[in-house]
Amino acid sequence: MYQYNDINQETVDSRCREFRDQVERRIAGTLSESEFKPLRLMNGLYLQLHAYMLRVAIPYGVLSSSQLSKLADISDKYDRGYGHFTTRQNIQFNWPTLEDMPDLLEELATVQMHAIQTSGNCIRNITGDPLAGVAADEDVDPRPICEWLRQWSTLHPEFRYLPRKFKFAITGSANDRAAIKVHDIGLRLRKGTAGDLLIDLWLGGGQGRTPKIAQLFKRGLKVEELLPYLEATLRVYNMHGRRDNKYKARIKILLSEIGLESLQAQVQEEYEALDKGPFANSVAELKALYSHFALPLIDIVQQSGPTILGNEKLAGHEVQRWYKQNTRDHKLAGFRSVMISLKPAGGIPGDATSAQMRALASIAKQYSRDELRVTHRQNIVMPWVAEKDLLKVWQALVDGDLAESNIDLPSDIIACPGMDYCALATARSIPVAQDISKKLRETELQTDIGKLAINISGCINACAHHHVADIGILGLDRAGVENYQITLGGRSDENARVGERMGPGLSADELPATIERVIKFYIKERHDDESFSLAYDRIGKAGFKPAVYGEVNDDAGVTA
Amino acid sequence: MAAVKIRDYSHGVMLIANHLLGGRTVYLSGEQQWLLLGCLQQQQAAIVHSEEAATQLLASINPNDALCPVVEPYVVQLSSNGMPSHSRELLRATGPSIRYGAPATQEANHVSI
Amino acid sequence: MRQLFENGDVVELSERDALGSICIPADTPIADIDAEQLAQSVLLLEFASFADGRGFSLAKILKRTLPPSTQVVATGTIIPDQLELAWQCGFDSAIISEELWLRCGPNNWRAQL
Repeated sequence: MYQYNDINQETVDSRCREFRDQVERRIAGTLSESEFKPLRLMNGLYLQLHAYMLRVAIPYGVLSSSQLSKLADISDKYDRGYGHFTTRQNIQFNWPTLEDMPDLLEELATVQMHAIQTSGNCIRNITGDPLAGVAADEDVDPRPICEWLRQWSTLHPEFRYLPRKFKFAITGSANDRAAIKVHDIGLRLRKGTAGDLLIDLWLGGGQGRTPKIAQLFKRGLKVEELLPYLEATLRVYNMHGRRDNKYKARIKILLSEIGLESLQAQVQEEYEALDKGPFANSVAELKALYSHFALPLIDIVQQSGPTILGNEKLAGHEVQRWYKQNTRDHKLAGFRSVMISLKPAGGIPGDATSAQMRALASIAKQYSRDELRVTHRQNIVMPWVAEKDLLKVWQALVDGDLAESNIDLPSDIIACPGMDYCALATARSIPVAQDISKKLRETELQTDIGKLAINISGCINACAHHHVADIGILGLDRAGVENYQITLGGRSDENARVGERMGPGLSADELPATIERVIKFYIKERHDDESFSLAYDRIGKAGFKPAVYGEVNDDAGVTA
Repeated sequence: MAAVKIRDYSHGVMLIANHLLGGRTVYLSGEQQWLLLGCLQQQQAAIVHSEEAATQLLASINPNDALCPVVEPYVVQLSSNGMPSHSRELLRATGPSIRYGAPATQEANHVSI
Repeated sequence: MRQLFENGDVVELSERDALGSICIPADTPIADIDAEQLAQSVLLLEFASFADGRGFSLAKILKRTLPPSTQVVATGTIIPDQLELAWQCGFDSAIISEELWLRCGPNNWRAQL
């Protein structure tokens, strides 16, 4: 993985010194609250319902063992012994104090981490395919481009005060695991016929109160065109994005107001006019980054050994279920990617205790080349596990309470912090997720439900991506009472689309049974292994709605 | 300065805020102390019953004053049991409704102003 | 009024317009800037709010279209932390009101030069 050079390190260190000075001035009273607030936000420090919250950037979700160990130490020393992994592949601490912040950030900087640009109207942490560089189905390893764009966007002088926040996601696979079509800009990297790298730029996706699926904005950019083209795009957005209404300030609104062709023409005009001089060296810089992401030279023969599925002694054993559900095909023969669920039935989605973080760091150190990934579904990946080590890894995960075999199943729920923590939330998400996962875990162990995404957001800002889940749940406030709206049929992959709202909202108590009813209806109605979204396409809202509102009998037939 | 928007003053309102240094949610006591909202004792809170008094209470706190120990103050409505009436403010008073890690050690339970 | 330069110079001005220059809002679309304005030897871009970053993009566009001798100057509401961004986006200097100079603190302005 990427290691900072001296310039990167000095940038982060000097930012720590600057923020220490700002905190001291605030505490001394020479910096007022209104002057200080934007400065703390620029350093990822929010004020939430109960306390401050610090959001730490994990660039494209890649973490080393030592970084995760440091996050564990920080959670013990400055917080309450746990952290929360988010849909932006970041981690949040819920209880740090302002007084501790300078020391905390300094400790983070010792492992090349920071909280810069995790808040504010700037380019946020770039997210990517959590299986980047290891997925068997990958066309192009996106990590060098991710790192290149991280460096380009970090502290970019022109784009720190945009109309609104700006989110990038990047994938190099036809199977989109990075949800690129619901980002302001999504990049799909692919190989041209001559084996050269080409980039399709999708623009104007987003969630919140106006969910939009991105449009294909520019097809087949060459690598040397990418940075100037992005610079032109961001410049046009900075100049013309709306600033009169924060709910209409994202680039998706600019796109829908002026239209695809007009925006493309403006960007093209700026692209042709801008000075390419500053980018003269950038492709050479990108090439230099490739050495950080080279495939390891591994003696493949040594890595092979008895597979878990092929081992008769393990027939019917829990480890086989785990292998099928929680490991993925790898680019290198003899290897698997291991996915670790942070969604035990009844647990808090995305939370990990310091002990769990240390266990993960230690297992990855021994068995995954020191590397881990955070997924946008709030789970963890060990990307480099040899087949021969899988049994040992599984045992170590069991010991760390980290072996729930439910990746991509209904109980693998995405949930935002909701009103238990978040100052913006209108309803709680976590307790709802806990109740639903408890209810569904039993069913999914008995029935092969297959891949099915349930996402729960605690407000219309849609941090949990409820619009693009098979089953989306949105928590609202109806006269002081929590109320939950159901959407069905959304998806966040290469065929992304926004789900349809079913009708009146439900109480929290009604949700577990409602969701179970919808899933049972799907199982009964599906053809063979038809996915939820295909079944929804075929059956439609009118067909599913009775299942949502309990107007079906036990055989899932409509009662009238 | 945030305006006071309260529907019903019959059970009174109180002032809550976040402690600048620690970030924790606090309420204003009759003794002009900021106390942890998580340890709310109604008899200690400064409770007022009119928009005029609430506006005055809110105006007495200016987070831009160099010595003000709190930020983001606002007024919350209480219900008959003396707890905040809205579910959001009730959650602020009672803490997250879920497990949330080890308890804080040596947490000061009050902040003087 | 003070004019601040990247090299650390701080020049006191009796008034901003003493430069004999034209001041346009920093959020003006490039198409709305007329030839007479573009012909000035000094062009002031006035930021209405430090949170509105349009001036940084406008400076970039102007610097590539104007003769190298034309001075582009940031003015209006900016904060000390933005001076570095201004230089990187092509501004030649910044002119700060006395009120802003004092409110943000001379030390903080000088620290950014």
